[in-house]
Amino acid sequence: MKKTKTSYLLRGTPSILLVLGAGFVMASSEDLREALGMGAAVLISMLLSSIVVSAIHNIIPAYAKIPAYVMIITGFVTLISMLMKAFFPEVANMLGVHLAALAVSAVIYRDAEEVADHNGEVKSIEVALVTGVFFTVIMVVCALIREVLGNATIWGQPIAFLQDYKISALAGAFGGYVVLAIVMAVINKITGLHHHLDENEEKEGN
Amino acid sequence: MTPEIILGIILTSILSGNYALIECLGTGAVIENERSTKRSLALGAGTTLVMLLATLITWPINKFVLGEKLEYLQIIAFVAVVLVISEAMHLVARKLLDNYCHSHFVKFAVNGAVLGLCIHNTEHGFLEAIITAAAVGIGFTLTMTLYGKLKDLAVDEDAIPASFRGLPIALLTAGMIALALLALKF
Amino acid sequence: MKIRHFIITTAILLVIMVVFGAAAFGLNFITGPMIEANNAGAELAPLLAVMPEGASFGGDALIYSSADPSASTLVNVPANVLSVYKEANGLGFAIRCTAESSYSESPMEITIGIDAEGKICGIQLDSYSDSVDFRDNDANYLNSYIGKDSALADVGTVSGATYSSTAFKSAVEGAMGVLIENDLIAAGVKSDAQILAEMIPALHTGLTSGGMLKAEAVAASGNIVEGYKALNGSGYAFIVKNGEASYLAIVNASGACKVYDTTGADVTEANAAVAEEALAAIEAVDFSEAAAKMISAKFADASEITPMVLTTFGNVVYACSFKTGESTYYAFYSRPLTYGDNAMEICTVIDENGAIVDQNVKQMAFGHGVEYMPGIKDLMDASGSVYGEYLDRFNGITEGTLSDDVLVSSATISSTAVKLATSDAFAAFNSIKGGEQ
Repeated sequence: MKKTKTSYLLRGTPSILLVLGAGFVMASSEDLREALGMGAAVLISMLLSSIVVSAIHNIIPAYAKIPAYVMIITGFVTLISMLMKAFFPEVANMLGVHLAALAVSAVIYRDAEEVADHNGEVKSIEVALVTGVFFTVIMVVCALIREVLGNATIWGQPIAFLQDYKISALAGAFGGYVVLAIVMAVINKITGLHHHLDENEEKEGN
Repeated sequence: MTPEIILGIILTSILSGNYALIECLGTGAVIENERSTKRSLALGAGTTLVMLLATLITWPINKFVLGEKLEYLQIIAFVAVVLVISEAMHLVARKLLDNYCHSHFVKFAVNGAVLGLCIHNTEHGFLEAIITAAAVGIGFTLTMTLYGKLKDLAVDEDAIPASFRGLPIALLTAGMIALALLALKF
Repeated sequence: MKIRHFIITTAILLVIMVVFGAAAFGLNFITGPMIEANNAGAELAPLLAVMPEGASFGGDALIYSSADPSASTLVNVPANVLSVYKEANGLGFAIRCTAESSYSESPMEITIGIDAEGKICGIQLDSYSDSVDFRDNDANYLNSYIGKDSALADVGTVSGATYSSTAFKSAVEGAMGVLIENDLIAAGVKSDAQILAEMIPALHTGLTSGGMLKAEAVAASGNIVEGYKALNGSGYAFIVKNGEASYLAIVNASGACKVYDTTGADVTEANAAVAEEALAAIEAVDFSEAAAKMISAKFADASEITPMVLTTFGNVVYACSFKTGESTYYAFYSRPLTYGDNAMEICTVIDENGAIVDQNVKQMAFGHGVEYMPGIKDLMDASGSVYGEYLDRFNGITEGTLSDDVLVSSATISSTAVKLATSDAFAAFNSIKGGEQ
């Protein structure tokens, strides 16, 4: 399972990961602040758990790897959520239960299992960064569309001339699906990458 | 606790408050589901059982052990409980479960819907929490099964624009179902 | 998986949990107090928003909470007051209270800031489930409270204030009353003009709807300090100075005028000059044609239509007697306000014995509003005309038998207005009949 950064991206893994992370991407892309907060949480928890997992993967018996890795991720998410509640209470409030649900997100878990478990720290950090940034960018783009068009605000500040033209549906649950679908389609179009589900591979949701 | 309230909780959890589609908890598990109806139902039943057992254990833990003082340990404690429950279930019915989900049941069972449910349930009374757990489990199972079935239906792949194939069309499909469910929200 | 594996896995989980638990425990020494402060801050945010810069609500700021009224030294606190806070630096008080909303089931939540001198320094609506209540004029309406003392002079007396603002205003009055009652602030003193203006709803129902003054301002001139012209054409009210004293002069659609002093006593005879000045300031509106149209719609053979002078002050804007065959009837044409301050047209025909022989209502509801008001829809056919069934309820009713039976539960505002107009018609009938005898 040796992969370079490019092959990691080209293989379409982030977009497979996006299936698993669709839940929190949609849940936290209603507002720009929320998206950045969630992006930071994803990035940091992924980075830290990758480091720890790649450091200790040799001493964890194979049968205990799944729960142990999930638990490690949970630990970091707990710490992150404490910090976020202390320093960015507004963002933590908006994210609510989704910040906690990040602990069991298949995105971070898979990163730990597939990459960190088989590679050294340097490689793991690299992949964690790429994936984390990818998610942050997706969420920020979705949030920009949904917050500006759906809520007529940006960074929580009202945009006066859009007040009468807001498409409230975009800010709700349905908007999450539509905007993410369109953003993904645009990315597919640009990169020419068509995501194909690997038939032999089982994927778990978050 | 009147029958109306119970019915209300059940309907809300299955329809307008659907975890996977509306609350965006465990969405991934649903939109990537390509299993047969039988497998989906079996997995859903397993997840529902995990939800019930987890609520049975996490609710008292939150009430009597964590309280407000140790609230910051909530996530870690709840995840540990869910992990141990699903490991135990795996221990009891390993062959059956792994067979049904193609891989490791624990990976499947520990998802956002279960954890989110445990956290939401701390705001309810015990009885209400148990009913909610069962109802959310049923809603999750139904959504997952129906969605899996939907993917089975013959769809002309060529009719979908190339860039929309795969995840985007899956999201749009789920979004349509979510929209229909949202219409039931008052 | 073997039992041994399960046990080892659990043990590993426990170890990881303990490690992170310890880390979280340590981190909590830093974040715990901050989170607590954040939570407290969120609770106080609406309070700070209504108080001037630099206000602080630390320590024992909460001097009353509806959760535990017995712990407070404040007495006679109304049920709708949720909490009272005393600002730490003596800048004043902040009160959170609720007001019933006529459009939604959950009440509105209001936060009011009151400075040490007893004047409102900030007010905001924290939650309302349906924005209909304050959709159009909320900012202007709320701003009209700023700087006012407990007398609340000129608040909500302007037209455009919506129906629920009555509940809103009384909630604010109640909240300020708590501070006055407990000697925390001094009560505001009402000016003579304000006292007189607040008497208008009781004395001239035509100028009001739902307890609010529904009138447009008329420019002051001469001794007239304030003037109000009814939106429905039912007359005028003037605050007139006469020497040192101020009087309220009300005028109905027929040009009858009455003068009241600040105690509410009728002083028309002693102040003929005031009445004269008031009558000079009005512009009469002729409703005879509109009324005749409504009469002839139901009584095609009506003859000898004779206008009568109204001596009552209400929604009736035109009265006349007419004959069909041998019988004499009295018609009262009234224009009460309903949704959106639109005037309905109602023609109540009463026989010599004081019983209604016909009730006709036009424009029960207006345009876009209808689909949101199932009750009104039930009353009307597709063309918007009111169904006879509803109007038939009025037949044979006399002043004594007019009851809430004529109200329609899901069209409260409109049917209340119809009922009000009917009772105004009876009042006008009685005064005319009384005058004849």
